[in-house]
Amino acid sequence: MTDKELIDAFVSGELDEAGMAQLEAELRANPDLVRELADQQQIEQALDVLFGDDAADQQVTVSVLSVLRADPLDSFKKDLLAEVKQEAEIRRREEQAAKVPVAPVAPPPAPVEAKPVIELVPSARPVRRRMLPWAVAGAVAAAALVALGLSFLSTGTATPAVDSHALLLSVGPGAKVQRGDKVLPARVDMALESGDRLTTIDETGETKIGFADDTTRIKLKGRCTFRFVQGGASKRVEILGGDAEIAVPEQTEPFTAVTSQADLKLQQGDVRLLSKLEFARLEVHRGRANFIRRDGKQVEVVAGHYIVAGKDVEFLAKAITAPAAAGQGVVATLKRIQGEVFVFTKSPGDRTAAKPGQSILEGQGILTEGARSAAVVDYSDHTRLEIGGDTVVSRLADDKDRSRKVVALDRGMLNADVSKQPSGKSMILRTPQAEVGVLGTRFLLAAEKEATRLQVEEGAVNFTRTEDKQSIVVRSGFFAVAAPGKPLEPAPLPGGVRYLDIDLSSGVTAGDGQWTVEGRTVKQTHVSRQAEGGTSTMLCKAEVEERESVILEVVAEVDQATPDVAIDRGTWGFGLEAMFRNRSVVLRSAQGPEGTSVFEFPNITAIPFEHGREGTYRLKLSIERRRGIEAVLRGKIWQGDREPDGWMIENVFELDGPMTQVGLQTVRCAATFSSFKVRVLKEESR
Amino acid sequence: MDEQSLIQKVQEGNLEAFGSLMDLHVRRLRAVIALNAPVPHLIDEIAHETYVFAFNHINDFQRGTSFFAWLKSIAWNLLRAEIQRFSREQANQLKYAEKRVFDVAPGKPLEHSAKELDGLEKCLERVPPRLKQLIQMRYHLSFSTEEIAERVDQSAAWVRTTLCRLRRQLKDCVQDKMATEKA
Repeated sequence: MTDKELIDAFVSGELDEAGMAQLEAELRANPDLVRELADQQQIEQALDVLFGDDAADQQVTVSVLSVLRADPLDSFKKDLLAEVKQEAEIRRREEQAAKVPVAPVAPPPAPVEAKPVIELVPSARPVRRRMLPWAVAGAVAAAALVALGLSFLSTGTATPAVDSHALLLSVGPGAKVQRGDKVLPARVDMALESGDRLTTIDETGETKIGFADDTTRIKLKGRCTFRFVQGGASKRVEILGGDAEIAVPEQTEPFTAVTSQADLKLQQGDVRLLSKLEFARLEVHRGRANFIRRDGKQVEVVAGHYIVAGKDVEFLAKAITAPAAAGQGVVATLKRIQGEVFVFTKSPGDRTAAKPGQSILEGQGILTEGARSAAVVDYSDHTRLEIGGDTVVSRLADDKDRSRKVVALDRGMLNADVSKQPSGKSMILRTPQAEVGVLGTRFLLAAEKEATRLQVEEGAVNFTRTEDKQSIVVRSGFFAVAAPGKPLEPAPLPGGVRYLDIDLSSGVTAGDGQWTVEGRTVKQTHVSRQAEGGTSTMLCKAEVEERESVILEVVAEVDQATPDVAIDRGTWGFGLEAMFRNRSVVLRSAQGPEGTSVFEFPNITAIPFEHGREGTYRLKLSIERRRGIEAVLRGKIWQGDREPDGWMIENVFELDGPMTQVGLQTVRCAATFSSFKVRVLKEESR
Repeated sequence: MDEQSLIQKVQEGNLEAFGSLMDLHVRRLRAVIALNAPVPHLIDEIAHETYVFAFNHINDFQRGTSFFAWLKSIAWNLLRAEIQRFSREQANQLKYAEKRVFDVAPGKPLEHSAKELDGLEKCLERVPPRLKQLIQMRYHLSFSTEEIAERVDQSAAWVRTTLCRLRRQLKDCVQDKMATEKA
């Protein structure tokens, strides 16, 4: 058969196996044929619809009406579930009242829902036509009745109060929970009960524990033994062995971690606690903590200090100067690695494999091998370097003053997102051909054998050619190349892209939240407990020209969300906001009751987007201005580093005037936002 | 009853009025989806979900604006989500040709498909009678290629080639019309 015959047979559904094999071979040999096939298929489908009889149209309308008429059963389901939940709540309260608490526990202020009931209800994804209405109805009723039955039968342990339990946010390989005389496999979202003993056995694994009422986090690294005592207002845990990173927001009563040698009391802050049989070591990275030895001696440890409790050890807080190697200080941390990444001290040949979370010490460098390898390095002030493949960075700090960032990029490429540096301590990046000096900005630097290329996303950068010390300033939307004998001058980036300078520190907040800005990272730490609402926003000035199109993007790490508050759609969420003269536009991912979730422009349209309660998400909102006041808004959300093609949601709005403010939004959740960028698109770059 | 009155009744909870409202747009909605859907079975599925969504959110619809445009935007977003879900979950089960068609699945802007549909209808008016006969037999009467070939006294290969050319001409005609409109 010819190509045309093959295509026609394919689109009409008449192609046999031999023909299919022939078509596949043609498609592999001629990639242009794919577009032709897709075009033909779409015209075929459209003609099928336009010339088809009414039967197919009627089938759609009848099936829709059948589903919509089944709604009364849905109401019945909701009523039934409400009764079941109420019953479970009463029983839980009775059991709670009959229990003798291990230690004083704050009374649960909010009503609690029976978790098993919620978990058994099928997800509220839109019903498909393929499912007959009676089948849908039957499934719903069956699920509700099963839930009801199980709820009445379950007379064992009560579901912990929302405000007093802890839960597993992530689980390392082989982690187990010992509850009474039972040993259970640890799983994500598992609620920990008082007395539960968690053991992790994997040397490289990590297990993360969260608390229901705030963003307190415990990260157990490697082999650990952990015992949960209580949550709520006076949180208490035991770390019987292992290495733990603990982050605690402000508490009314101190958070307590018990080790074999001493007890940690922490009102607020970030610490690392290493617990062994013979000693316990506490490092304080933020806030201040009390460390109380078994003999009652107590020492206050402030940020940047550590203390060790153990036999024959001086019980005294000391400055953290040599946490990993004698004589060397930490200058940065390897946040993430991909592929072949190494750390070296003197030369790239003398190297060791890098691990995520590893500290980079004075004098150490980083090497990536292979085009797909990459590493992300964070400094303590949130300055971030994203190091690309086949790159050598031989230095990350000044030899004499390690608080000053001096980066040597010997080869390869890096993206720098530099927080505002102290006056007189601008960050320096050196390549074989050039030097870059910055006080706070975002840019890409690539060092090749003969030339160095600088591309500035945001702010302005001083670019100096080493050969003749000639300097230029390169601004957002421009690039420059330093190479021997070539003119050193800034040129506009192809496509006319430029990024806005967003002054995050001058952001105006509103609603029920607590926003803080650290460098280029924005944190909203308050989890609103409001039954409805709970929205909080932070808006920053971001002026663009009249009718300029923009793309907003951000990385959102959801630290904590209010769980299982079964109200209207969207119990919690996070999003991006853009303000215009006549209206504000919000693109939001919202988690609904019973595990449903949507990605939406509120009140306009919504689609399902499946995601968990916590994690890292990337959001992108495109606002393309058209003629008159019409604007096309598009959005997408994804997890991981690979951005999906195309857009997931689109709508047309009427927007008046230029964009004046951009911002971030949370609804009943705590989140950390990083890499917040606003790209301005000129006409030719669209 | 006109569209706006029907919408008012639906917003008051009248399901029968929604039936009439659906009838007004179902053919065009399915055609617009057809111009974007990478596989045929998605057409009716997305149309179905679009209507269910529209009914459940009918109070979000602003009376006085275009109901069909609203339906279209819902359908477009559902289709996008469905394509992503489908390619994620079932891509590996597809045969090579189907998968490649999926790979080039839509990237058209929202209003594009509706204009494309208008263009297609106009282009169809210019199709010569002999070819219109082929279209009627294939798409209205659902004849197989062999049956068509027998009726027009041609080979099956001729029917396939002619239909393929015709669709290509229609596609080119639609693109020309849209380019002219834009200019």
